Amino acid sequence: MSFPPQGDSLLLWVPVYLIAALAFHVLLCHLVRRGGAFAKFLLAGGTGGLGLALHTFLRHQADTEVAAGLLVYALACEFYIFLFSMVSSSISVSLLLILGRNHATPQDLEMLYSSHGMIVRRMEKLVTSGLLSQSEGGYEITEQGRRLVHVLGRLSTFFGHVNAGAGIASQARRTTL
Amino acid sequence: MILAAALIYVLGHFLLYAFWLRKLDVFQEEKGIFRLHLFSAVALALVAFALVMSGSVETDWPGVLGALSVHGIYSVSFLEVWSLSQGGYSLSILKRAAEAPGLCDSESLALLTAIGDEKRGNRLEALRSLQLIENRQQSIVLTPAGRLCCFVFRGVAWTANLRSLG
Repeated sequence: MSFPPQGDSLLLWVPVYLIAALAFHVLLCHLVRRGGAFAKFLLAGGTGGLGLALHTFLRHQADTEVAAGLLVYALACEFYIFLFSMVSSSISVSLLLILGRNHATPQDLEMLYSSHGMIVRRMEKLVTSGLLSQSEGGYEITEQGRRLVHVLGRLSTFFGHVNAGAGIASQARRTTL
Repeated sequence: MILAAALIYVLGHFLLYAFWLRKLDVFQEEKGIFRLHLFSAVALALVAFALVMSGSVETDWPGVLGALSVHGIYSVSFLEVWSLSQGGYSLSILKRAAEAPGLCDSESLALLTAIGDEKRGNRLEALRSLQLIENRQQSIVLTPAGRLCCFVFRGVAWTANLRSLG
């Protein structure tokens, strides 16, 4: 196998299927109202991956090149998911995008990107994700949200995020009483 | 063969972390854990490259690519979970909602507002240290690197049609 890949190498098809999956994702995100970007990419990326897998197994024997092609595709998809998830929720990215539109003083930033706005946006996303529910009494954590907090608490302890782990561990104990 | 070796390598990497490295202070910080994975991936790349070039082990370039992809998937997944469990703003909101249902009380709002203010300040400092923003007279402006990042992020936001950011 030469490098760079030549001829009808499977690896040349990986970017093709990736671009197709990305294009499908763009269409879904712009034309379909329901569902979040993550769910839509599961559909788009999954379709692309299935297409690539079918293509490879129809045209090639199952060998290292096939495995490498599928792994590269999977890595690229995971990286794209990480990228748009980060853009969606990262405070740093939001600050960069605001500063990209106009110069701002620190006081301007407090207004343009207020804590109140941050809280409202986060709560809306948490409600959309089913982790919070909204009622007349305000926002309450759902069972799904509690499970997530519990799981993240365990992971936090495993990774040694001590302060966060202590808070969640005590919360987990309270919820079981 | 190189793919199998890569799988065993990442498994060993994870077990080393699980049983030893995670107890060290340096790997409880973002920089440390990122460097752990970066150096590991670079080491794997160098070894794989050397093996292919020397011909001492029967392998080929797709195998090297696959091996690096295995490590890439492992590292990206690991770092995402690590970061998520560190406790972001959304997790703080969820925890507060569990402690004080409603989130309408003044104490909750004050707490969450204070967290938001702190995060905004910390992020601005982080962006300065990464030289993505700089102070110019009274304002904060993007550096050329910051403008490039902004362009990329704007593109990503467009592809996923992200309206509500941050």
